[in-house]
Amino acid sequence: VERVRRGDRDAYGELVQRYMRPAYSIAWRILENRADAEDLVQEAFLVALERIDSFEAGRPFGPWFYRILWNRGLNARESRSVRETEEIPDAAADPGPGPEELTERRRRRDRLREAMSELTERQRDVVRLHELEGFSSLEIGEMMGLSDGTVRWHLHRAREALRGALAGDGGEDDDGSDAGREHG
Amino acid sequence: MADRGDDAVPPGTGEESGPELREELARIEPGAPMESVDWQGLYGRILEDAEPALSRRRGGSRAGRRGWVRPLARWARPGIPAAAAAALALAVWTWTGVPGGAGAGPAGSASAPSAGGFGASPGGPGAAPAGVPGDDGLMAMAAGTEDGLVLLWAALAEE
Repeated sequence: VERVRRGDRDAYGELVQRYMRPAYSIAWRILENRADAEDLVQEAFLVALERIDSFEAGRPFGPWFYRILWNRGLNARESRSVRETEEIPDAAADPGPGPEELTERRRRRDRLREAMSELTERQRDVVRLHELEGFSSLEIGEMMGLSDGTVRWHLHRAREALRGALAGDGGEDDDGSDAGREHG
Repeated sequence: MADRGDDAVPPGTGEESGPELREELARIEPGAPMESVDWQGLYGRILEDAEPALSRRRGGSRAGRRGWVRPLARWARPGIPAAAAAALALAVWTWTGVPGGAGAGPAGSASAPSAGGFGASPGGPGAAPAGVPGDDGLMAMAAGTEDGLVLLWAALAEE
């Protein structure tokens, strides 16, 4: 980072190489579009370079950078210029199970999708980053500017709703029904 | 519902996740299509974007250096001869004005500066009695030194 501050292109290149892929993963989770995610990563690196003097030496670069990425991503998501989300082929198309089991699986996934859509945006983001990208609640907190406790609370509520959906609880008549309320 | 802290979370629920839930989520929300990204292209674009900012930073550090080099260079032309003259004058003064050194050894025979100024001054170091000069001798030495410096400066200025 010190070298980047002095304008060292190679050092900046090293940072880009190291953080480009995880950054893209996060950007994808926010925007769900390949081109938008690439634009976001590109923009976040540039913003990070412009703000590199405010980076506190001795601290890890990742969380600081991901926070920039996250905030820019949220802005992009809110803006109208964001391209449509891409339709990703369902990874569930694995052959093997019989038609009955397949039908049941589809039902479960539909319920899960619905439960996900009923979560607040923040809960969805927390779940995606934790369950799918493998970030800890602390890391998510740093990225999103939330306390660890708040992140864990969102995670807890979201899981409750999603597990309910998987189990076929419906989610309307139980504790999961208010999981979609916004907090923090 | 108000925002809550750690105590609102049942213990142990923060970091645990069921494999089933994770698997199902992964199926309905697949990860980024990493293989379809042109990483070299993206890397190149990021670095290309950054080039003006990096170049400004490089230029900035050079400008920072120029910031103190330029005034120094401006002052160097008159400053170096002046510093040399001052050093020479100090050396001469030390050589001829050290108590006990005025009459003996090279100080005593330092006729060049003496001829230039010190010697011309009445009661200068040459006129002082050998050994420790008295108050009068010191005053004369000081006066002689001043004369010597003035002459030295005049000579340098002429040059």
